[in-house]
Amino acid sequence: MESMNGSPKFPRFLVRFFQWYCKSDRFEELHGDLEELYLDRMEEVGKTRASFHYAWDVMRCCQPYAWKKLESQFNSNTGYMLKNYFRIAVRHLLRQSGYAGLNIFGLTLGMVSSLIILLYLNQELSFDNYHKDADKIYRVSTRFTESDGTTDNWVTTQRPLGKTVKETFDEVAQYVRFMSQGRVRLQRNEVSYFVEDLYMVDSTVFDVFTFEFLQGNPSTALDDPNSICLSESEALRIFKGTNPIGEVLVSDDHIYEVTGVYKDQPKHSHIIANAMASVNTDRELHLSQRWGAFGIYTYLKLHSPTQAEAVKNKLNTDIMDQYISVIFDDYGLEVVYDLLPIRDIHLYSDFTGEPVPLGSIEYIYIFAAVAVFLIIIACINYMNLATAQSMRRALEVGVRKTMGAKRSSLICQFIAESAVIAFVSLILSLLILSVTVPVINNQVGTNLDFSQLLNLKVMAVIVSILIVTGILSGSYPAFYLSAFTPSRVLKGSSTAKRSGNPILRKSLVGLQFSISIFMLISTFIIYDQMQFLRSKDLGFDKDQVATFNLRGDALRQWEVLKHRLLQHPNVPSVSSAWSAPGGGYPNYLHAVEKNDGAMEDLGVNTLEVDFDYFSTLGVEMVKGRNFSTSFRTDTSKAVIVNEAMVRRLGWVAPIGKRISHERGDSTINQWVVGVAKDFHHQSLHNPIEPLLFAPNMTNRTVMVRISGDYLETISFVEETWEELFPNLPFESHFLNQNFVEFYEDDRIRGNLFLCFSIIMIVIAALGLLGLASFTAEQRSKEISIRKVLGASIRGLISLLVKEFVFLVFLGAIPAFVCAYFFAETWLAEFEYHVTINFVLFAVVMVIILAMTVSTTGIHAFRAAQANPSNNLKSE
Amino acid sequence: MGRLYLGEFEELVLLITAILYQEAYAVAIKTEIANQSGRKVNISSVHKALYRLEEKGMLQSFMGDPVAKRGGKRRRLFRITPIGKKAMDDSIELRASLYNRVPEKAFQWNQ
Repeated sequence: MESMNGSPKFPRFLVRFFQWYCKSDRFEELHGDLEELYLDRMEEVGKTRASFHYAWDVMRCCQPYAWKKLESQFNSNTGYMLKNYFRIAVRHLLRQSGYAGLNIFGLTLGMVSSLIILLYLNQELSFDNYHKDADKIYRVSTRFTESDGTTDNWVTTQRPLGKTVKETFDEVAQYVRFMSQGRVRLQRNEVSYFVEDLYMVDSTVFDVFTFEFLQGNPSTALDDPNSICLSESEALRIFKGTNPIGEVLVSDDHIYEVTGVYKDQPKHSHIIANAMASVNTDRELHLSQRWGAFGIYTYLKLHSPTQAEAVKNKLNTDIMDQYISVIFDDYGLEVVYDLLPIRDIHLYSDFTGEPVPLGSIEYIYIFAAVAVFLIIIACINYMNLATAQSMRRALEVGVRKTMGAKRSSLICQFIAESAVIAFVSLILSLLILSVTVPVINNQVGTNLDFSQLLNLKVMAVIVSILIVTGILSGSYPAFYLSAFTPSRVLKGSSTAKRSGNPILRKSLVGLQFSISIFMLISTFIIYDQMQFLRSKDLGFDKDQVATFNLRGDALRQWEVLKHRLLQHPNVPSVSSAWSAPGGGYPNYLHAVEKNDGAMEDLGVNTLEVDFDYFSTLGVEMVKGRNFSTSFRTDTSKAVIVNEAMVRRLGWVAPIGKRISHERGDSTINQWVVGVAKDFHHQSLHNPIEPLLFAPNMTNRTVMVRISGDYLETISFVEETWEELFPNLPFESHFLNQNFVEFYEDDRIRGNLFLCFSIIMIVIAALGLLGLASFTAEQRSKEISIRKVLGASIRGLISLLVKEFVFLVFLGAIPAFVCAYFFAETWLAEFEYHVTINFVLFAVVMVIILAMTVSTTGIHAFRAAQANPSNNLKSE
Repeated sequence: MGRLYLGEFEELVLLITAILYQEAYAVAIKTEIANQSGRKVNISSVHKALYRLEEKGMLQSFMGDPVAKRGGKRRRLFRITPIGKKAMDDSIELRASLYNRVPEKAFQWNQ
């Protein structure tokens, strides 16, 4: 018989399975029975069928009488063993305090960064979810398609829409309109306060949205005309702690009575109102039946979210047919309403004119990936260090096994050990976070809220991170170590060379390099692009231009102010326009002359400017001429277009083309006198839009070009203003500030990316340091012998370092490919972007190589320097 | 164990264990059941009954010598205990007495 010590004739996995479930003290008799039956059957029915019978028996025997008893693992000894595991773990950590420190430090860094990302993601994903009926609230927005295919997506709708829809659609429970008043001056006892983002809203606002009222009654607060509700911080700023209810605030147009104070809206809101005034204060606005004018935000609260599709369809049939097609069909303008659930606005809106800058779902994915990378890198460190040191634990494993420890309990021990380390890191991370979150908010410009970490959902994620990290990083060492055969380990000699699977460890290190290289390249490309945005020639001179707004008296006496300002030697030119670059412009319907002389109705971006606009911004004419006072008809008959407009219309000879629009009963004709060079009126995220510059001598926004001393000149402007308009406050800012704000989000993301790549590289370097010191230590005898035989120190260092350098190059290949594709996708988001600079790739390689050579080199050098006799004498 | 109770299959296994005397182990019992009653049972049912009877104290067991046919493994041999004998006796007696009390007419069907 072949089998005195096993049963090679059976399928191995079945025997394994049997062994797995079977109580060890019944295995012998039970499996003996099965073997006997098998042999009997083999004679009777042949080998194959006997095997099937065997398999069937194995299944059938899987019954309680054969099962392992759970008590055998959790007996009265368990408590003592746990204590013992814990003690051994602590001793081990203390003995290897250097490695343990590296481990915990690396893991903590990784966790802190991932938790920061988690906070950021949590904030981004929780936009507007605090409203009680968040799932039923939808915003109506509008999509336009012009006859030439140009599309526009506007957040806003018309004034009568909300009320009409509420009255005619059964599905709509309530509506509310938000009409932005922008920055409004409110006066109290002759003192002016500027309130950013004041909205005129319907009194139904509190039925739709959830505002927490501190004072006043939400159900009646905005019912009466001339009522205003303030956010807590505005109330505090204006009233300094005295009771604001019933107090009077005077704006430029209205007189308001304060009827309520609400808690500041959370930062994760897609629209933030610092003050809300009742819309019926302005009867014209409130009752307007103009279906042609857009510009207000309309929200609908439905009875149930399932009705959204139906409401959208009805909007696009009923309302569209009755009110809208009649206006726009003549112009070949197609209008479609769209409903967007408010919770989706922040991440998914593709509309222009959002009240608060949007996030983007792509960045959510990117940051989630970064968090995962960070954790992976930290886990790899742990795995590498743990397996590399495995020989130190081998004896322990051998002794434990001889004393009767089961493999499963050893696995538990090692996983628990890593879980303890992960737990310690987590506690440390939370401590660090509580201190650093405010610093980060301050430095990076984020709005993270540490208390969000205590949120149940976030807690669940943290706990799963903990478990995953513990298990991920603990499992490999655990399975590897627990597989040692006691007899071999205790004999000592044969296994001394082995220290974990070198191939696996190398590939893990290679993966770390890959991730680090990828992150670093991506960061550099982001930085490159940011630099490009900051320094790109926008087509006009944005430096040394101050802008401020005109209102009231100042608007009426603009010519006087202008005249006075120009007298200063440092003010070469002054202009007023509808908006300064960075601001918006309206879109009007114009009839435009085509190449063949026919007129076509088109929506045209129109910017009203005075004659000095182009000279103040330093924009040149590429064809024709600038507006000029020497042509008397220029004030009414001339327009200028930009090159983009010429391209849009396909004009061959733009000068002299007619553009007309209706005003009242008459048609106003204007002719193109010049084509201005394209310049970036909007951010570089967007292409240069076709623009029409129409003459208007007095506009709200003033731009002052300043040469020479900026501060001195601006104070001159301010003094002049105060002298002329002592009652109006003056506020100015740099024009390029507008453009800085455009890229604020990109800048924040760039900064975050930079932080995380640095952290990643630090973590990877830590792991490398540990690993290198271990390798050097392990090969100390080899190095000593080589040295004795005449190897140079340089040769020895390169012996140790080249292995890692090789891994860097290996890891670089996938990293380069991924980084290239990431960069391409990311850059494509910008209308104007840098081309991918391959020098960056080389720079990153140099950085990573330098890091590798220096971290591994230190230990290699130390090992090579050591006196060979010290290492060899013990043999 | 309180009241002695035997299931039908348990009783069969108990009896056969007693019959086989020195050679009573699971495979032999299974074969004997097949030979005597024509019932084909799976080995696991026999195991289950044996361990249960041992738990009830009606059987006792000890390990035999290694057997080459079993890959060098030993057999667990069972032997009936006095308690087992008593349970078996009780059961047979109960049946016999009950059987005797069946009126003769109950077995006459053709009238």
